[in-house]
Amino acid sequence: MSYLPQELVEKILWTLPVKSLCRFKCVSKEWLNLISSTRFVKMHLSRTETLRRTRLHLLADGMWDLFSVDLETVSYNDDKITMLGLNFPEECASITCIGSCNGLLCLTTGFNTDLFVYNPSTQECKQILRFGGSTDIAYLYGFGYVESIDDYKLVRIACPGEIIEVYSLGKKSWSTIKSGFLFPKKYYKAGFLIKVGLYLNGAIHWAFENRKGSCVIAAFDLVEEKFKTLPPPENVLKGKCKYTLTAVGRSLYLAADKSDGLMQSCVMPKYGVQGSWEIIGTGFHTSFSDLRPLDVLINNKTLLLMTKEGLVFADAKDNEKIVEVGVKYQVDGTEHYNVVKFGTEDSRHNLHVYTESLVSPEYKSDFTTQDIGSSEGATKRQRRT
Amino acid sequence: MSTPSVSVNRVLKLKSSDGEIFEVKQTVAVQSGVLKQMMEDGCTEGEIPLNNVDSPTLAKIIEWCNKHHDNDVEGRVLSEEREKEKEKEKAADMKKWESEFIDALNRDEIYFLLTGSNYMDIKELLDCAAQKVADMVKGKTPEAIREMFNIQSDFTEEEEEAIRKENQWAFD
Repeated sequence: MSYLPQELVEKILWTLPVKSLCRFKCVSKEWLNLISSTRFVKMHLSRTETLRRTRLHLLADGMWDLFSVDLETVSYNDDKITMLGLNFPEECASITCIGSCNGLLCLTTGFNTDLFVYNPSTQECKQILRFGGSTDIAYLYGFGYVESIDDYKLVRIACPGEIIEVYSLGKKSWSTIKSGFLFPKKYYKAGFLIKVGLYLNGAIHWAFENRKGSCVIAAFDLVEEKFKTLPPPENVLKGKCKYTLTAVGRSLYLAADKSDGLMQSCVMPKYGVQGSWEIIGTGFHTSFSDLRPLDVLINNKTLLLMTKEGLVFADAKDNEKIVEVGVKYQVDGTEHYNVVKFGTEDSRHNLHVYTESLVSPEYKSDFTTQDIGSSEGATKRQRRT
Repeated sequence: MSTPSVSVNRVLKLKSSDGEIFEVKQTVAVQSGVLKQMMEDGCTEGEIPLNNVDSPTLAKIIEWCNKHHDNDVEGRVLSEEREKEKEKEKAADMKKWESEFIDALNRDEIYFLLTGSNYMDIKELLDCAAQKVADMVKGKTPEAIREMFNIQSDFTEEEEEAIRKENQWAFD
């Protein structure tokens, strides 16, 4: 073969996995600039999104390292999933994932005082908070990307909710907002010290029961940086209920878990439209209560669900089976394997899903690159000479 | 804009860079964005010179377009009676044909197919050829890539060392 014009090089490269692309940064300056450019990173991400069911990884947290597995290598026939360490670059006793979006993970170590944005595919890591906050406060977190402002934002709310801290990855800065919105105190106490909101449609969502015993779906809009509420389903279960939100595709799912064991599952296909809520299932589901779909279909057939019993595979015919999840690691040259329990009430471990991407934690949004456009042009020219 | 005057029986005469003439039905040629535009503009009289595509490549491109056109026509006539299963089977057969078509080509042939389909703006073929090249380069070292695409490294030794160090894990 001989020389290819850049448009064709782009066309070839945008289908490649991140690992190949990081290696190919060494080919030439032209390739390095192409692979690092904001435009290419976005192209590559949108390509991965259209592939949708590939280049997805399952992530386990709550340990001294993060562990992950490529979901392409997992199938319904497996009885166990073995995850390998990512070698997270910072030394810590326990890492918790507080958000995952476009290949970037938001992480906290050291009991909420240290925060990181980490891309496990490129192994780039950026610390965004050091010794910030209090170790004995419960926090709500949320992390997401907003296209209209081309920025990633991390939201952190301390109990009971009037003070909200927002970190902008593009602006590299924190801001504090006062809101009149209050979460019930018991919401913070339920389960863990950390509660992660669900990112969908430009907002972070939390669902909880208010004092009157009704379901409230709160949404923090990342552009306006304001709280709004979404209408819950009309006939949703009420009273001593635990509500869990998930997103599958672009639809919001709500699971209601009543203390007597009754559970209900609802979907809102048209975002924000109360009339579009549909109750898709009600019943006693004692063994598989607290179902949480991980938004993953392997080979378009198998759904991964998190339950109190652990990770569950469900196939198209509603056959369900529990899968053992374990982590493999080395200590002083000896290999170890531990089975890890996820999703149980007393477990600190959780499972998350992330996509492979080139998005850098040192995010340059279109908004900021326009501002410094001329100086960037100068550095490029300098590099060429 | 009016619909292009494409007639089933009319043919276009395509002239490759080495002077060979290929006759292609207009209904087949619409798969090329460039030829479609020419038909819409009504400038397809006589021979159409394709200066960037040689005759072996043009023959391959036409083979691809004919196959995809046949498939489309058959699909359209039968689609109402056909069950979804059969449609799927058909798509799988086409995928198989495509991969056999592309796998039979050597490196240079793929290169010319890539540049040729880009020049003629045939999206599906371009995607297919680009995917094939991507599969070929995926596991390669930067040195092998440079050799394959005839690229001279313009890094200084120190620069290359620094980038390599930053991405060391990608070489394991």
